[in-house]
Amino acid sequence: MLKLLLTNFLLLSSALAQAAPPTFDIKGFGTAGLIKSDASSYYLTEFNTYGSRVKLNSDSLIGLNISSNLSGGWTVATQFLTSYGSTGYTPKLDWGFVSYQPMPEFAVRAGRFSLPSWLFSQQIHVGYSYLWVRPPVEVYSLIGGFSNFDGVSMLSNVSLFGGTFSAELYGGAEDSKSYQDNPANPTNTEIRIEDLVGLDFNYSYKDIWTVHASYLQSHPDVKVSSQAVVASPVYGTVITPVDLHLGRFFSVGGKFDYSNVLFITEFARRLIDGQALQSASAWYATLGYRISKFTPYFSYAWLGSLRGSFNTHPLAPTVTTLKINQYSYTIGLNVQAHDSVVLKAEWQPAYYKYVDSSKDFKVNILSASANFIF
Amino acid sequence: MTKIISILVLLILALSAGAQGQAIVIVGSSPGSLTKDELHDIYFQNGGRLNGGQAVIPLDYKADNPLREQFYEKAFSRSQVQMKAYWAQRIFTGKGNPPMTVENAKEAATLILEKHENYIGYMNESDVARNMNVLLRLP
Repeated sequence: MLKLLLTNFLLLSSALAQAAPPTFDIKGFGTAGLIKSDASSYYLTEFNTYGSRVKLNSDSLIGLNISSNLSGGWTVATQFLTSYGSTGYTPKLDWGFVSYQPMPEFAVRAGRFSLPSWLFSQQIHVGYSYLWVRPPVEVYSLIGGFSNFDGVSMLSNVSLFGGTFSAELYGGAEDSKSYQDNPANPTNTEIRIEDLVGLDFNYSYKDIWTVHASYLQSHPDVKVSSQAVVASPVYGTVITPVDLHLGRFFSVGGKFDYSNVLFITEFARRLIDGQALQSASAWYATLGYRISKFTPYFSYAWLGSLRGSFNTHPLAPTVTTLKINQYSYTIGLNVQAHDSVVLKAEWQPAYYKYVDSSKDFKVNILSASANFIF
Repeated sequence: MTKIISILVLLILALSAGAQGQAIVIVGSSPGSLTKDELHDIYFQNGGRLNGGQAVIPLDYKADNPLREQFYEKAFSRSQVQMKAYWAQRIFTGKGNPPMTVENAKEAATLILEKHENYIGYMNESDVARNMNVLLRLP
């Protein structure tokens, strides 16, 4: 994909070179974060685990954004990112596309994109641009590590009732591999998202209030390979194909940001016709109050699954069980320390319950981050 | 001594009242008029149209210029903290870059009057020259 983008870029550059010299913008962003939980077991979101020791890698990342406005309505924009994964810090092309905008109200784009599924999903790596250390994981982990796709997108903006209404229709596919860092049972997951089609609506009234709605559907094809007993006492890799049939996802949300008050809420639902990963719903609400450069905030988030979703049991990490719900409270402080630096600190007690237990498990999570742009 | 301090306090109050009270004027390379809604679209999307027709390029000042803070508060009720978060979101999602910046009103006036491009900019009323096209006045 990178090769294709570069080829397109060079072709476009040479064709348009005589009309006007291209302009380039290079900007960067990053997060230095740390997280600690008080539980000896794993704190579980649907797809993330945080151990009890202080971790520096979970939220830390650095990224570079390169964009070029060419003449004739053509632009090229790319974002490179280095964050911690199963092989350490590895740079990757997060997204990058060529855009043709024949008029201010309409653009067609091709390349690699971030999914616009939530209010903050396209800027999820740019902690500087939102309130929390990380957007509420109960909602933002609802479709796992699936956050990008290769394909095409059509985007339209119109002025409406004094605000801006935008609609985006997109389609494509995505291949991704993830590695679950569970020492007792390391698991590789390969996901092929096919026939992805999505529709996204956004209405913003002068950035004071914003309403967002999103729908997408696809045919996910998942292969999970894990270490297991093949014939006792021999361990081997077991590959389990998981047919999830049609997966659908929708979300609605809104943001109110006026004077000192900031209120954000989102609801999301995942519908899957399969046995492995069940349908689930999640929502959160956040209230913040700005006092000059300081914004204290409070957040509540909830995740529920009708029949539960697979997760590693906190008391026996080798046992996979079904989690039926999780909720968390977050009390945090956001400080605009400098023009280009935001500091954040959060305390987050989280509670979760499993199908085979009537007991609520509790974990306290402390997080801090410095988010910067350059 | 008390008298001198009182005079100084009154002088500072009078000067700050003067600075606050001065209108901000939106001027452009082309004649026409703007509504606050149109001005918002131009400055928040770094582009837009004047009177529904001509495309315009907005000019802004650098972050340390106090007029910039006054302009965004007066025109859009947005603080600089809010604007920084807004542009970080636009830039890093590939949806746009903030308006081009100039050092001061003199530089803005030069670009606007040269008319190489269809620029619009804002300045204190006292900096507006007679041959400039006034598009909107923010009292």
